[in-house]
Amino acid sequence: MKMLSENAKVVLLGLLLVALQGCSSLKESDYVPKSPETLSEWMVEGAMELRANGVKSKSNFYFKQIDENYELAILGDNPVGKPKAVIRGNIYEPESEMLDVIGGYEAEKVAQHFQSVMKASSLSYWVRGLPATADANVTQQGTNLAKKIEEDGWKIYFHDYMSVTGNYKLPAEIKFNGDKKELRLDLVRAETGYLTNPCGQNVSEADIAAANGDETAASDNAVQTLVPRDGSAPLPRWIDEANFCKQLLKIHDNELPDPRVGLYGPDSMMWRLSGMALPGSFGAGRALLLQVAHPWVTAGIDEHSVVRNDPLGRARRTFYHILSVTYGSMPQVMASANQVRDIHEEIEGQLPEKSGAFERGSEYRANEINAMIWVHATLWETIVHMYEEMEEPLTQQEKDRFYEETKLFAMLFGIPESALPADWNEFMEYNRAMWASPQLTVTPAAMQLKNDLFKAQSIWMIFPMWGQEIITSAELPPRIREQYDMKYGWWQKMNYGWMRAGAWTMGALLPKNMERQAVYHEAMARLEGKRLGGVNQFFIEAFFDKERLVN
Amino acid sequence: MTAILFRASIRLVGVLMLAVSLQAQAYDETEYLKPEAFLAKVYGSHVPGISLMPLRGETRKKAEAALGHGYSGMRLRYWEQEGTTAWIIDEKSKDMPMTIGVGVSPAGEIAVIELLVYREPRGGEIHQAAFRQQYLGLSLTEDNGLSAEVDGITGATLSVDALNRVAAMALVLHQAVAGNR
Repeated sequence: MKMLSENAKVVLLGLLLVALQGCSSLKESDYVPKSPETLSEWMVEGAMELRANGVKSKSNFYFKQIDENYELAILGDNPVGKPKAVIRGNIYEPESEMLDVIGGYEAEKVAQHFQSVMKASSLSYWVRGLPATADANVTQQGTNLAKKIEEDGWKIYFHDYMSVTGNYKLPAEIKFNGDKKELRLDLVRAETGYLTNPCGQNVSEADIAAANGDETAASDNAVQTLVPRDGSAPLPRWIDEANFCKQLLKIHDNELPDPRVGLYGPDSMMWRLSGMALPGSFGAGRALLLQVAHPWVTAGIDEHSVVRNDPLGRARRTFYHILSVTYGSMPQVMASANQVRDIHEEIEGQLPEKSGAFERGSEYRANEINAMIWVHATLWETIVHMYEEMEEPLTQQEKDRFYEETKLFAMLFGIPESALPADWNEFMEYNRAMWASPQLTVTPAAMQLKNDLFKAQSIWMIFPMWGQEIITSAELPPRIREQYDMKYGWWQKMNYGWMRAGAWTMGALLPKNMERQAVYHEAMARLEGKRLGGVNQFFIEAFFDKERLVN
Repeated sequence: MTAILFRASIRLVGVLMLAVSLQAQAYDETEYLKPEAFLAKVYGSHVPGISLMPLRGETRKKAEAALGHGYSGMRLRYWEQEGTTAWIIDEKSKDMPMTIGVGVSPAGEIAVIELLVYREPRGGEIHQAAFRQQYLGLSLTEDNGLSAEVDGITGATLSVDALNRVAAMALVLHQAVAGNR
């Protein structure tokens, strides 16, 4: 009884803190969405229930539109199953609508029932919260959000909206009321682009055909190219947008057939290692400080990023893209890859002073291949390092498999496969060479970034930031730790000891499914055709200020 | 012992969650003007109903030429009254789209140009009235450009370019509406 009362106090304390800070900060911030009129390649999926002509039909479905052509697929009971019947047509030619039946009489009945009350071409607009014609009567509930549409004998009510990739909000719950007919759509998720083409808008087919592949990056010994033995800086190199697009096409068209699964999937080493909450959260500081020990990376961040004013925002955006590429569907992966390249494309300049292997005035670009390989390496070496420290050792075969998977990730950020170390052992040789190389030099700007990173911006951040600094100090390679002027004496060792013990205890006591981080659960929900919800939804909104990342 | 560890764990998780959520900042976004307010600037108190323009064929080609890239979307919503048209168009500046409203007079000249929503952390200076003033009276050239050069803003180059593209696209669309009348 006493224990119950103690626990009740803890819960009350939590509720009080939530109340004090306001619930708004636990939900995604509000924003003005883009108009869904600007979608030309998109899809939504969910469940429908239709009552009309004295008959009730229920089915899962998806609605997909590529330019002028749409398809409404009836899926039956399985939300991620293959279509059993498909209504196809052209939005400009509603009379051309056709029905293809693939999966039997039941699906055909549902499709025909739907066709008896509605044109799927109109649904192309209504399902996005848009009027199908200029004759509609629309009641708005905010910019680009309809509350009610009256059109073609229907009163259509939009009860809920979901935030989806690309700054769009699409209806999540729609009720259609007509004369003795009723349709309800519960939407689960949506894709808003990159369904057929993984490249950005600025690359033409002629550009891609003329692209020469990654020949400029090829070398016999990747490690020696990346870390010259004489301590000099490697020769700068980068790939243009057409070659970048060519890499995306290679992944999009050839290597990965299931767009719902994305790059990896639940059987991959990538999901196994990065899905665990503790290694990632304990290793985040190590990876970031290793990155900014590279003077080009630091210069890019220092001169072009808002990290100074908003270090947590920068970390949030970085991990948003890393997690989208790791766990997203193929369209989400391609959206993130293009977005990151666009952001990086604007980042270039000259080093303000000589920094280790890099001369004063040497040009840097965020899309430079050697620098990107370093950023890429810090992520995956850290994940394996922390996983082995906190979870279990990995076999050579598992590390090789994991490393092969990371090559796909690298290619999505513009790194040609031929520029990368060949296997895990060569990759580790590269990491060790970099730790000892003057290419990693902690400049005053890097030191400032480190101080900003661990500076508590409010009373609530004092303990987490203090803990993160100790963990980072413990896990950094000694030469880099010393350059950052970070201590790792008996006091830090003692504190790190109890933090690891605490983390282990938490891991042992909390429910098994809480060992995995929230985005992993969100990706699993996508594979099952479900929305996330619950505590993991809360975590995503609290950490990323987004309703969803990969669903 | 287990109960103590459990309570400590819950406290730790709670503090970490709250700490992070307290740090949460909203999107880098400013809504300068609602669509209704923009339309009121173009039409006064008598705002016409929405019209819809399918974006196909020659009109699409011309619009995309003015924009300098493919347009994502199959139709455009616009407003028209006595030869004056109004357009609300999203266009990416650096990373995120901004929403721009353009009103075009019956003579095919820009009469109103407003930044409705800006979603980048930097470059929002194009909202300044003195800058936007430069667009008023501009018309479309034969090669689907603006009839006069617009002075840029240091640090907002991409946003200025995006505004130029949208202004030209609105003039192309206006021509298409006028041609169909």
